[in-house]
Amino acid sequence: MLYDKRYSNKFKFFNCKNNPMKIYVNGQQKSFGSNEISLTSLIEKLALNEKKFAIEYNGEIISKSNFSQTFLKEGDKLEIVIAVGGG
Amino acid sequence: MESDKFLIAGKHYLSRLLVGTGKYKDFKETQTAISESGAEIVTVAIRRTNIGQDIKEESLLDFIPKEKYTYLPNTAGCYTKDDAIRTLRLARELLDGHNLVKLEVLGDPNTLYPNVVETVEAAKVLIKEGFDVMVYTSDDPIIAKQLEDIGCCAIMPLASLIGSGMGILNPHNLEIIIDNAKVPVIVDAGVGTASDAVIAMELGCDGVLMNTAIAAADNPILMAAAMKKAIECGREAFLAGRMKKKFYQADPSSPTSGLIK
Repeated sequence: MLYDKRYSNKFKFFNCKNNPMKIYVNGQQKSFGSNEISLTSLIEKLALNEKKFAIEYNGEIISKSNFSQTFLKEGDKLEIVIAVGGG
Repeated sequence: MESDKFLIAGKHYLSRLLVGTGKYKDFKETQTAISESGAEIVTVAIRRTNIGQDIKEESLLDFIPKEKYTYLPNTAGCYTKDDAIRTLRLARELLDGHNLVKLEVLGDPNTLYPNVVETVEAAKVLIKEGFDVMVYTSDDPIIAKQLEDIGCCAIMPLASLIGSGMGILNPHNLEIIIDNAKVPVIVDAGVGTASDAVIAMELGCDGVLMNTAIAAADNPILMAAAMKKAIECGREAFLAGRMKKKFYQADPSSPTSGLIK
């Protein structure tokens, strides 16, 4: 079981079977059925909107101001990071 | 010691103790220990977020407010220059354009000994991109000088291996690095207890960066307070200038005349 049941509704979009588009988020493959999904919608679906995070999109840093104009496509690779304890 | 300020990348700090935020029981303990340590610069790591996390999950940065502390994002866990560079570009985006970073490129997972060749190459790129690079390195004086020459704003040699608590294994190399450096030299890694921090400061280091020595103490809060004093104590002893060591020629502290017969 990859996700806690509490989040199952949020992740239904990952399980669409019609014409799925595959992207990679933090190394995990995710499938999308919707026609177009912007980075902004992805962030909302991942419940990251209230977090302090940064995104690398296909190897390049992407600023928050460009999220809404960026639409995900097949094979995209995203790294989404936060600050954690470290020395 | 208000006048004895510590300058890094153009900014003054009062505390010469830099601390990490890893290995604590919870964020509350992290917060209290850091507060007790008096540190103003705190390191943070950059990691992938868990997908599907609780939206209300607590975040480290909420416990160490940016109004109070200077964040020092690190590249812990990076074994190549490219990974280190990517990590710090993400850190700069994450922290709203923050340029002060700790670069470390590791060479071996068993010892966490730095790979100085990759470190030098990463530092060159980062400095060109406008980062202020505080660099973790070995206690090799030649590499330390090279890192300074390419523009690193602080040289941070190890005292002993990361997380080992073995103390200062080669004080003479540190002395050579300090003598040759025009930028701050900060011992990073290896300090185990307060006396190690005192010795580092007495050698003339500008500061000490530590994490495990505090976080892995039985009482981290108390050790944080001890480290604050140790850093101040060692710094004052360094500035005061120690007496010369004498092997055997006795020189009593009390008068030699006027003894009762």
